[in-house]
Amino acid sequence: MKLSLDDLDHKILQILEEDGRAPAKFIAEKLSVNEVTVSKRLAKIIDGGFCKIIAIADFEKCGYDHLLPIGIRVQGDKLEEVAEILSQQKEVFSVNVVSGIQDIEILCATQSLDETKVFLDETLPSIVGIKSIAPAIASNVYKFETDWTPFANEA
Amino acid sequence: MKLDQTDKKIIQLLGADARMSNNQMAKVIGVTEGTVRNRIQKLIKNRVIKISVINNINRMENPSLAFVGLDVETRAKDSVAKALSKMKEVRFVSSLIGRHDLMAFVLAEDVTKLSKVLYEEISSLPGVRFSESSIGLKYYKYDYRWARILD
Repeated sequence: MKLSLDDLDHKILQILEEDGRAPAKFIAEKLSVNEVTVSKRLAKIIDGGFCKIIAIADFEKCGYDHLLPIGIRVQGDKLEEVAEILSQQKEVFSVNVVSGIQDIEILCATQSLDETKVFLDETLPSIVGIKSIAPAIASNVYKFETDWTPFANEA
Repeated sequence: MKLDQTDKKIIQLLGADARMSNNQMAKVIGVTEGTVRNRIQKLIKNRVIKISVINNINRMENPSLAFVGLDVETRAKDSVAKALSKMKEVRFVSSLIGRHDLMAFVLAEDVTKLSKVLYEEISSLPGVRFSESSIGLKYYKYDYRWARILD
């Protein structure tokens, strides 16, 4: 049987959205259920792969000043290979194969202009199969939501 | 805010599981529980980290993602970016140096909704001259621990 989330699970998640580190005891009291129930539900939500409760870090405040949204065009037969190689680069934190003008869209974070130059002028051109790149630096990020994301193939 | 090794370790541990107790973290890192508590408070207050519930995209019926590059009238750049930011399905908005004036990522519950956002809502924003979209087919990598904490 496929697991799904019910009312109580959603109520627990609502409290966690306010404070992700709220103790099970606190949640239990707020919802008038017992603590063991809350712990079991949390295990279902997290181990079942529905949600993760984690800290998101602001890459700029962690010293990664440059965010680069780069579009990449690739030789048809090299698409998967290039996507795999890009995924292995530590400064690349998102790799998506797309259909449209570009073949792959990536997000990359670098710590300095020097690192940006190395990535654009050395790292990317050295990957066999890349035909062209459409580089950019994000100058002003207005919105960056993360409440719905893929869980597969995380770093 | 300057981050030291203890901060970085806390960020790493909380990035894997934000439900880990202060006591457990203190043991792993080799500092006192009080230090862990203070550091977490400071990291959150300074918006270095944000404890978040993130939902697995596979719970959506037919999630449809588009990467949209926009060319806009120079004077309208800020107003278009702000209007995009207000749209629920628009998950990411930034002004760019290079490739386009603005870039947005749009995530909709299905293709019908996605095309409505792309071809009705975004195209009709005043100041948008041209937009170019690519549709996401497959994620090879996504590290959800990285973002900007803006609000």
